[in-house]
Amino acid sequence: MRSKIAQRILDETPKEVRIFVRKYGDIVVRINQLIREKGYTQKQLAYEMKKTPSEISKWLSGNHNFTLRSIAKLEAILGESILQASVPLLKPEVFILSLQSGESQNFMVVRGQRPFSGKTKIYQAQSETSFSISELVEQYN
Amino acid sequence: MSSFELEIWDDETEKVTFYTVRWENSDISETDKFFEKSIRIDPSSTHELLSLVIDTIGTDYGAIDDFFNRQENTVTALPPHGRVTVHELKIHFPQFPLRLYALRINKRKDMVILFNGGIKSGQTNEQSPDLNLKFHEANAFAKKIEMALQEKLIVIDEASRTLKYFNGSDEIIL
Repeated sequence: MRSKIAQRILDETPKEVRIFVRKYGDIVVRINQLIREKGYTQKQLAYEMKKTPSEISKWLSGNHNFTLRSIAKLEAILGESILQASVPLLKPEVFILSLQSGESQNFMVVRGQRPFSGKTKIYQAQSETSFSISELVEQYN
Repeated sequence: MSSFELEIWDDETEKVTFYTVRWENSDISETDKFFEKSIRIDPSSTHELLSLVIDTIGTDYGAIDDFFNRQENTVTALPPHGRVTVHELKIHFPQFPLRLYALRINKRKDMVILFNGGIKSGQTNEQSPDLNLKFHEANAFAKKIEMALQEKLIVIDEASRTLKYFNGSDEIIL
């Protein structure tokens, strides 16, 4: 059960607003996670980014609009990816990894992009899902 | 303080059960009052805040620290910890005008009580008359709820991720 008022307002909320808020949340969580993992203090981060500690404080408390440029700078300093953007293929490639034992109708498949061949590239896969053969044919033919 | 009912506001999200409070003589909860008011004043910020509650917190992450600003208020009459922590939902956009107060039950990530809130019209919350009033009101609600939890007047039902009155009832009046 959800409050009727909340549901009504949610129904009126433009789809792009919900996408934006979720993506913004992802960025905030990821940055905070990386800062914790790397053990950075605000002062250290400010030094690395050539900004004042108060500017960094504004960033981390949300008084700053992240731009692609500022995110790239953070990625460079923290040495990890914050945004995971991928280029969709016009027609996804399907890579059959293995047959699941006892279920002859099911393949384990990975959708990926070129270059994606051979076992060394396996971790470039974007998702891993089980499909039945009929679903597979319908989706990719 | 008059009696109020603790009722479910949204239990449809994957990660959190959201509760709200409703004065006994009112037809509408405090959280619904907040959203009804804010949608008339600032629709786009209201859409963003509601999406933060339902999509980001309720569906994606649960009630993690990243989305809660600590707004601490010392309550000396509440043993043993002596304090109650009401949070302000934190949306990370610059100059975001809306504030909504919340209490995480026992600091859990899956159970949140939403109160009322307001618009930050002054430099600080204290300088925003409407907001300051709602903050103190949220603290009064929170204090009574935390006391009821400590005295086991209300208990957490882990299986259903809900709160129950001590006699097992879903109707919780404090």
